[in-house]
Amino acid sequence: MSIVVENVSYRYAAGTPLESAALKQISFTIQPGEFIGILGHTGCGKSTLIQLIAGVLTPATGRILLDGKDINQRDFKREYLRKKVGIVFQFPEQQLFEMTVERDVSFGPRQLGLPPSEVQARTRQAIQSVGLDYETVRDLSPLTLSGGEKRRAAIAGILAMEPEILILDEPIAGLDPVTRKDFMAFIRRLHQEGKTILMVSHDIDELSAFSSRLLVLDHGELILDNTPEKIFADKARLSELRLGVSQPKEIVDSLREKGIDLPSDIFRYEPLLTALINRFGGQNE
Amino acid sequence: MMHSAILSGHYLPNDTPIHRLNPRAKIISFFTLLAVVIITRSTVGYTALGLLLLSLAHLSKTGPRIVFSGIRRVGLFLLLIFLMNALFFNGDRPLWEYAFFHISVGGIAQGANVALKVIFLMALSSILMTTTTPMEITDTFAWLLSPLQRLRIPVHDFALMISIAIQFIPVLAEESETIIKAQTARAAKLDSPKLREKANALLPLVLPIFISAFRRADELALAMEARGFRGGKFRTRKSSPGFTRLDFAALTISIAFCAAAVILHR
Repeated sequence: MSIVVENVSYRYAAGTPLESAALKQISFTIQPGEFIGILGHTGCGKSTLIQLIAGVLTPATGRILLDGKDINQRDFKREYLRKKVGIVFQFPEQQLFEMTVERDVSFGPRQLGLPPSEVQARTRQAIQSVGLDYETVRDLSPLTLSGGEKRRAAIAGILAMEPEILILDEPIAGLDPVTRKDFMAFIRRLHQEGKTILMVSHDIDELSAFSSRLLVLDHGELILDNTPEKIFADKARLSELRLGVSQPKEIVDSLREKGIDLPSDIFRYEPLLTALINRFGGQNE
Repeated sequence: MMHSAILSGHYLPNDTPIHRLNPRAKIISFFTLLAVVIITRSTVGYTALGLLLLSLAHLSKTGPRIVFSGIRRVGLFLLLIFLMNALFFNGDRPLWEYAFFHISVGGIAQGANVALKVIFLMALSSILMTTTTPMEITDTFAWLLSPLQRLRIPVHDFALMISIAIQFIPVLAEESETIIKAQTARAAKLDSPKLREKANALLPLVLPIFISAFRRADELALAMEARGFRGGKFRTRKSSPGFTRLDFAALTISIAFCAAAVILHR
């Protein structure tokens, strides 16, 4: 299940005096099993890009190919796209609408026309997988849940459709630190279970923690597309784009400046910890 | 979604003489010209008005495409008005009659007259709407209606309500767009040809939008109260620019048109 984005451009309010370019000539390929982080400032076009991939916007020029087929061709089965690609919008809790959590989570699978037993099984599994107790929440109104629980329920609604590629737009924005950590661990688990993840954020720490590849957008253009190691190696380029590096990388760099010899390609916490223990021979618990 | 909103008389920021007019002068001129459109019956009158509207469209850089874009949408309605008048109006100089159908020169003229009035009214309002912010319009209406305050009619409360409602339109429109996209991605069948499915598909859209509108209203009320807002009191404006020569020119032109129309069609 690969996605090819080919010379895609998008314009807002096309044909009016308020027209503006949101994306210019974007090309890249998403391989199965990747964890891609999309990084950039507000208004750089990252949300537009993922909405094009999810097929809720249509590109002005260029093509988006799902397994070699153009998703915007007239004869392309939209339902096939919905089954394969799931998108969690920013603040997904706003899309909850059913009377009970179970009804809401099962909305997607029901729309896909799956048999009732399958719908029920998927709903139960999706609710459990986001860390909610199925028996407790199934008959509750989604509106009575807490903020974090609402978001879990909304994400369960997407997972119940069992997409192979999961797109997340700022999935942990506005959550408290503990819930954020839980969520990141959860997203990582989804990736380890075999889902391809495409995650948008403007927080570089969040993205570099798990991404195997980073895309950096600026003013609608794809500026950088590489592994985090390679991208963080060019600090000057990042600061040109008004972006920093991850905090562990920052720590490593300032320690290296002080003359403490650590590998320069560290950008995550665990390798940093290991390197420090190796360097200073501390006691590992 | 966005696209249609922009074409149908959405405010288009720009710096033109029409944009710079004092909103009070602009809206008084607007009503005066509205009266002209209603009074006018003759070819001369329509030609003069048409030329005026075209020059306004040109001056305001709105362009004929946007000025007349609203008209395309009511095309069927216009055609109906024209046909009703042309077929049923029992005017002079009959051309053809059958049962209760009468086609006459008078009827056709009457149909054209009414259709032209609608077109001109729409063009005039779309010039006003594209050059004046909704805020300016509500403020001016509150000002025009402020004498009613003496009759204990809470004009300013109404004006506040309307201006809040207008301010929330883009917010709600954007939110609706996101929710439509989100539910589409969950395979909601929004474009199903079956009426039943179509009605069912509306629920996942309407409910979240309502919930969020109520939440926003609640939050706004709280925020206003927290900052000590009290309705009902006469509030002063941050700025109220006086009339310039441009404003007097606009008023003079529109009143002259009105006077000419009254004399011409006496």
